[in-house]
Amino acid sequence: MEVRNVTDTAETFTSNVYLVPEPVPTLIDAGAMSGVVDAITDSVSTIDRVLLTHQHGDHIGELDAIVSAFDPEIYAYDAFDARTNEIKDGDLVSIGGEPFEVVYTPGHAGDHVCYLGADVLFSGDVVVHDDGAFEGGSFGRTDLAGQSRERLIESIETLLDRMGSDVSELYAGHGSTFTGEVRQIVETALERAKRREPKYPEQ
Amino acid sequence: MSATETIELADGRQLEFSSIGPESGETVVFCHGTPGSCLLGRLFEESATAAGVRVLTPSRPGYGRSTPPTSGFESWAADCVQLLDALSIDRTTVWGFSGGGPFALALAATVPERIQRVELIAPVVPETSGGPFESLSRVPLLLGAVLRLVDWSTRIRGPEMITGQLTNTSVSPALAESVAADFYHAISETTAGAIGESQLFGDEWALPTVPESVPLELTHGRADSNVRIEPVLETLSDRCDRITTPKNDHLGTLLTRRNSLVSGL
Repeated sequence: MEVRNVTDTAETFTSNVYLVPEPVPTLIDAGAMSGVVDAITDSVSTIDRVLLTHQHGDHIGELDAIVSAFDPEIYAYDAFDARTNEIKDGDLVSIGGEPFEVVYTPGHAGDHVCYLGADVLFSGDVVVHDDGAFEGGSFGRTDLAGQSRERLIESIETLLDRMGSDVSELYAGHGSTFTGEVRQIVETALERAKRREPKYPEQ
Repeated sequence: MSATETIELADGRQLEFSSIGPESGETVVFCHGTPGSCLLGRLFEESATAAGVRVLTPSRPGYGRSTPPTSGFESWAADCVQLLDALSIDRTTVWGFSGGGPFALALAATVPERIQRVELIAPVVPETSGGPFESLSRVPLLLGAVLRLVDWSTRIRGPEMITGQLTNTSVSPALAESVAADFYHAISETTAGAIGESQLFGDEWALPTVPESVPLELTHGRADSNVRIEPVLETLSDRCDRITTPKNDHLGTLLTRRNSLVSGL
């Protein structure tokens, strides 16, 4: 499955935005990079579907621009104006012609979901390969209002329960793309989250 | 950091190297870039010392105080084996950055039974021909003059002149100094290494083949403009056990990866 990151040229803070061009041009998250529509049209002429992991500003900042340009279907857990398709835990969605399970994973955000396939995981901000705090497995921050480390830990455990051992590609909301044993990265993130220490010293 | 050391190789040539961290620690052989020298090992000074890891960085022939001329991959591997033997090291991990990538693979291809793991950071592959200073190496005969000019302008304009060629991220003055010192040391005695390796990478060449028994890991920045990521993934994806692609440029990838390189051992 071909996956492209269309936010590589971003100069200001944004989530990663992944474009899966075939067979149905699909985006995972919309990001907050101005000019993302141009970056998308460099590869494909339209977007049919946007799957959101959660509705934080860095993930949906440019959603309006994407809706104006392509008028895609919008899949999201929580209701909002632009949503066309509600998704719930356990639903199946198609990405790159392959089935992905929606895994409800709150903690970092109340409406957070991951998209889990047989080989590929779109993890949003629940698990990332690297960030300012850790490399090789980190987790989304939980120090802001409405966030919960305990709930996040539960979510990462759920993810591990449902994940096969063949998942070999990790596309996270921030940081690097990783190819290898993704379970190991998720397990490392869980172990670090479970230390229940502030992720950043000033947290 | 300890001063650089040298050993005399069997054929009388000198091989210069730096050693960071405790002698008793787990060992890494770090293969510097093109051009480069044993001084690049300084980047790991803090992390290696803290983790009790020993990072050995040999200057390849024609760089720093290592006797020219440039060697091929096999001859380089043989030099490294002599270094490992001289220091009584049985097993080692190998890291290769940029132009050092193929040389790291060469060592693992020659003595796979002595290699724990190979980690490539922004490695040069055949399709990227000229290496990180590609535009310079297109005119290899002029490269010596160009390098001397760079060397001269570095003294006038400061170490950021070098890091500016390799990364867009801002680099602390101390770090810029380290990277420039590495570059400067590389060509201080002779430009034979820089010219020889640029010609090597400019000609037709192939990556040394490492037996499957040795785990291979790759980290390559998606924004690397010195060594583009696409041909690297095309060449190495199937062989690597782990691939990490940060949104980073050439030197930036090494700088952000360097602490986890040590802690990941």
